[in-house]
Amino acid sequence: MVKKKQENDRDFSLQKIVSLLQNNEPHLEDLNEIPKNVMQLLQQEESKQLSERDPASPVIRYLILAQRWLVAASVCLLVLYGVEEFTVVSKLNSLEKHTSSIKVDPSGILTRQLILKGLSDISLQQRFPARFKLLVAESNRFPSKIATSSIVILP
Amino acid sequence: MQDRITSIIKRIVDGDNQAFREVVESYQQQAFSLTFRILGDEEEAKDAVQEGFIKVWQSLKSYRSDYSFTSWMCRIMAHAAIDRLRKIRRQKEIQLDPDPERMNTLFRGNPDVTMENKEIAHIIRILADGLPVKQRLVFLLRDIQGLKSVEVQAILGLSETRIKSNLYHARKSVREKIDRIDYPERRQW
Repeated sequence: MVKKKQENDRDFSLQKIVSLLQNNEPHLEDLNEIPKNVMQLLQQEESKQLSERDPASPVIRYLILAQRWLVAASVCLLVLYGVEEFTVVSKLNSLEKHTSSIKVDPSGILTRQLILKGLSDISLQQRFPARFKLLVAESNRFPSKIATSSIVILP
Repeated sequence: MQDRITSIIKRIVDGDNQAFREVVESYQQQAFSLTFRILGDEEEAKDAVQEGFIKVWQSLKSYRSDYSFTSWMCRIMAHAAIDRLRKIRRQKEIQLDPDPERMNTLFRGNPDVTMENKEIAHIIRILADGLPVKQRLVFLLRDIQGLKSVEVQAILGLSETRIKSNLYHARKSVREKIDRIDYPERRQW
């Protein structure tokens, strides 16, 4: 009973404050202030909209176009560079795979040296005359064999 | 009224800005009352009204004359005030200490007492500050501003059930706040 009475009292308090606020509407003291400010803001907004709609001068248009072309070219170059980089790296990888698959025997070492260090023909010819002859003959017949298989050593 | 506003809007769309001044002059009080009650601050409310009217001007082309202009404008004003409320809440948490003597003066037995804007703002902030945004808005729009449930639904984009639930929790919190305020007149109620 007491609790219910308390609840009613509380409701009454809330009701009273709410009706007090409902009866007292906030009022504007200066009725010209808002219309004046709004009209000023409106003018600014209109001029902003007009400047946005204004067609750009030919020089500016040319500059904008050039800028866009430059951006597009940079993107294309970046893509091209990426593709090239990918190709080189993948070729290097496959080369590494091939060289590591060559048997580690004297002829294999020769081939690896030939591939990796790029020994000149003359130095090869001088150091390993018989093998060089064979190597040239073999590679003439099977151009790809040099990298993929080992070379049979002549007795 | 609706016919008058339709013809004014037609003039504004045709580029007559003075016609828009007429709209501002006619509806500024209503707009101010709404934004003031949402924000509980006179200056912030005036700024929200100005922003709101600019949005009204920008959106006039999309206004359909079969819809009530007042409701449409109130929706825009409420959104301008809500945006501002969120900004204010982020910038500063307003600390208010209810002054018993002030409350005593305001509630001296007569609910018809006339209050100044400052006093209205003071009470609104005592009651509504600290409430979650949705509860605050539902309480202020529904109970203080006296909008219909449908109008509150349209402004806040909430279902009727959620409005009821927010209103219930808001009223509960407000009652608890009132209980915590200790001033002689309240004891007599």
